[in-house]
Formats: sequence, C-alpha cells, structure tokens
Amino acid sequence: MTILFRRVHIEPEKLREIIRKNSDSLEFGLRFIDFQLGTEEEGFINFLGIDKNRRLAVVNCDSDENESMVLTALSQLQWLKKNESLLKRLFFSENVDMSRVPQIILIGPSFSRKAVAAVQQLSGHDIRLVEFKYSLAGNNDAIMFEEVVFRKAGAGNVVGLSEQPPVPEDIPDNARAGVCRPVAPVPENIEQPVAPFDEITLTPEEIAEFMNFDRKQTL
Amino acid sequence: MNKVKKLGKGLEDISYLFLSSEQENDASRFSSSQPVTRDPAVPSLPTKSVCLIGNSADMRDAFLIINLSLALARLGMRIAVVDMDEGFPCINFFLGKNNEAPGLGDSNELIRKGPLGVQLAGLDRNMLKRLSDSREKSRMLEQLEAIEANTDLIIVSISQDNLRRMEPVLRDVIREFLVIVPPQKEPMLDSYRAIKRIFSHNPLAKIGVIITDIAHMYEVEAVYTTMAGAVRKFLDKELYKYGFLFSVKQEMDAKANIASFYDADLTACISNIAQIVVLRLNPGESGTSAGLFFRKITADYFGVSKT
Repeated sequence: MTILFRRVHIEPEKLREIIRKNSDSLEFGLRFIDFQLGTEEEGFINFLGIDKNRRLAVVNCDSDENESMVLTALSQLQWLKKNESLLKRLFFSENVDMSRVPQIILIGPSFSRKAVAAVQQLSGHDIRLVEFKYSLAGNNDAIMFEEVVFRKAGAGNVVGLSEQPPVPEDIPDNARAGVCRPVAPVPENIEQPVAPFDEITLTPEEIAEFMNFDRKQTL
Repeated sequence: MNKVKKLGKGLEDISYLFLSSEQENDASRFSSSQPVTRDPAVPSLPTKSVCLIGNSADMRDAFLIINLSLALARLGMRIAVVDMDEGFPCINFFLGKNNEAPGLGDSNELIRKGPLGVQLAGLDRNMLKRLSDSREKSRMLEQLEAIEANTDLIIVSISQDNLRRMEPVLRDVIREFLVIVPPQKEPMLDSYRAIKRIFSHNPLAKIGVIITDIAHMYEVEAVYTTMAGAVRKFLDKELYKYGFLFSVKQEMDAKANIASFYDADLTACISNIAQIVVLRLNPGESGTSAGLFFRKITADYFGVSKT
C-alpha cells in the first residue's frame, strides 16, 4: 500500500523538538550539549553539539527560508572563539576539542541561490546546508533531511525509512530508527485525510499505576 | 518645595524624589482591589489561550474556573472565559443560575460580560448549530474577535467527556492546558487519559495540573507525584504543578459564586493558582496569533466562518 503524504509547514518549535530528538539523523555520532544558547548580538545558537571527533557543531534551523542564517552562523563562530575559555569551563565534562574550528549545520526548508553560492566560497569552514521536507498523512508525520551542500560527497539521511539505504554496520540501533517516516511524492491537489476520533486506550500497567494510588501515601 | 528639609549646611532631604506622596499612597490603597487599567497607547501583546479541562461539567469545576478568571482579572489581566460544555455550567454559575440553560434569542445570548471586565462566551456545538442564519453566525464571530482583540488570556473550559470532540482544537489552536485532578483513583485515571489524549494529538502541549478536592496538604504531593510519575514513565513528558484547591465543604450555591464567600483558604488557593498562571503563561510568548483564536475554533470545530 502506498502511503500518501502531504507537505505542510512546520512550526519552529516542533522542528527544533524533532531535531533535538534526532541529532543522529544529521550526522552519525553528533550529540547536542546545549540548546538555545544566547550569544549576545549574534542571536541564539539553536543547538550546540559535538561530533564523534569531539569537535563543536553549531546547528541552526528555521522553518522558513532564511538567507541570513549563513551570516548569523559565521558571526556565532566568532562568538564561540571569543568565549573559548568560558565554553571550556561550561562543557568541561564533554572534553571538547576547542583547537578545531567548529562545523556549521544549517537546516531550512530551502536555501536561496545566494546562500548556496556564499557557502561554496567559504573554504575555511565545514558548512552543511540541510533541507528538510515535513509532511503529514493522517495522524502520522514525516520529515526528511537532505544535504544540499557539503564538501564531502554524500547523499542526505532519510530517517526511519522502511527501505533504508545501506548504513555502516557500526551505527547503533537507536540511530537507525527515528520517530520520522519517509516522504513519498504526493500530487498537489490531494486532500489531507481527516483523523478519526479515536478512543484513548490505557495499558494494564498504566491502569495499575493509579489503582495502587493511596492519597495518604506520603504519611 | 515645601517638602525639602534642611539637614545641615549644604544637605537637603531629597527622599521625596524617591518616595510616593501621601495622596498617591491613599489612591493606590483604595484602588488595589480594582483591576489595573492599561495605557491605550501601549500595544497589547498577542492573546494567549489556556484550556482548563474539568473532571465533569459540573458546578465544582465551574467554581474553580470562574474564581480563577476573577483572580486573574484582579491581577490586571483582561480575561475571556469560553465555555464549551453542553448547558454552559460556567456561564450559569457566573450568572448565579443553577441548571438553567441561557436563552438563545440571538447570538448575543451566548456572549456575556461579568464583573471585573471578564467576558463570557458559550460555544457549544449543538447550540451553535441552532443559530438560524449565517449572518447571525458571522455577527457572532465578529463579536468574538472583538473580545479576543481586547483580551490578554482566553480560558477555555471543557470537561473530559467533551474533550474527545475537540481534536482539531487540541492540535492547532491551544498549546497550554490545565487539567483538574481530584485525589481519587478513578477520576485520576480519567485525568491521565485526558493528558494522554492531549499529548497524542499535540506532542508540544504544555500541561499543568490543578489538584482539587484536597482535605489535607499531604494529599497534594501524593497526587502530583503519582500523576507526574505516570506521565514521565509512560508518555515521556513533564507536568507542571499549578497548585491545589481545598474541597468546598459547604453546599455549592450558584448564587454565591465568588470564592471569598466560602472561606479564606479557598480564596488563597485560587489566588496562588492565578499568580502561577501569570508567571508560567508569559503573555509575550503567544500560542496563537492575535485574531485567529476564535476564527480557528469556529471554522475548524463548528463550521462557522465569516460571510
């Protein structure tokens, strides 16, 4: 059976939530160590992560096309450099390799021609531009990340795909199975199916949790 | 200049520059019980909405909702209460009626104004369907939009039974939810089911609990620990604690609908909940854009749109 998905707009908070829970879908081994990190005039770093080589990664996302993301991320790199000693103390336990230039991952629904051209001219930094496509099919949603610009050759990651592209064997199970579903091409005029009023069922464990409740249990 | 006291050579008492005058003190003392008026030049923030989910559509939940809206109004917020239950228990309670349904001569009957500027609107699906022509529906929507434009917080009141019919609203319109949880097994299970329903349709929802019908203080922690533990364990989500309400001992009289008529403890509980609501909901960070709330509810849920 073919599942039809309809591409829809996603709220920035939901996009951030999905990315937060699926850091591995952007790059294997990437782990977030901070969220919404304020950087004075340079705005918020949506996610500060470290990759498998202990290098910092600045991950910014926007639910709409935003040409200024590249410029913002570069100015945030400057802020990271300026505050290196503070970051070392802040993330002491993470053993971050501050000697290496952090990589930048920018996520958006699309990137303008100017943004792509600008990134391709930046030889000194590792910058990935990742486009996402968010879709709905009834109660299920799906998101697909696709790298559109990166110096190293490679296709984008598709999270939770039933017919997944081959992945290296050293990737753990939790990195293979995301919460998201694949996106199939959908004709523009197809209507979004309406979710039926479903009954919320409780598991026996959930019921037991409350059946054992004693209102005087803290005495 | 008569306030300037000479304290010595070259010294003057300039405390009057920092302290308010006696007249000002008197004025603020007398106006403390009045709602704070706003400067019309200051642009109002986008309207925030919170959905208060009662255990059943009865007077006990209406008591909390109405008194909470009054307490918030006393804190200077402009409040609108939207009653989405059949028979409008909140509106009836507010108006001092026991079980009478408000009349339905025209759409004006569904929108009322209460003390302290609290606006009341009844939006029951069946009632709305009985509104005769689309012009009347359209006029009602205009009235609702006017309310929304002059409101800081919209409190939507609905019981758990009716929650299952509100899935589009749960998904798109409201982000903040308050679930009433009494300290008994079965009602707690029902409240948990409501919480699960909300999260299943809106994973980004922020849900808080108000623990009601409390006889002793230690019950508050017992209920919250059990509920928050179950939500964390089975749904992997967090719950916010908004406060509690002691059980109302005397018989609920719809004519005496203000908390202070009961006892000081109840008034204090509701006042505390109101303060936490103001702190947590942060009116600057809106769940929906101004002007869209009622349009979305009436269009998505009731099939009413502007003509």
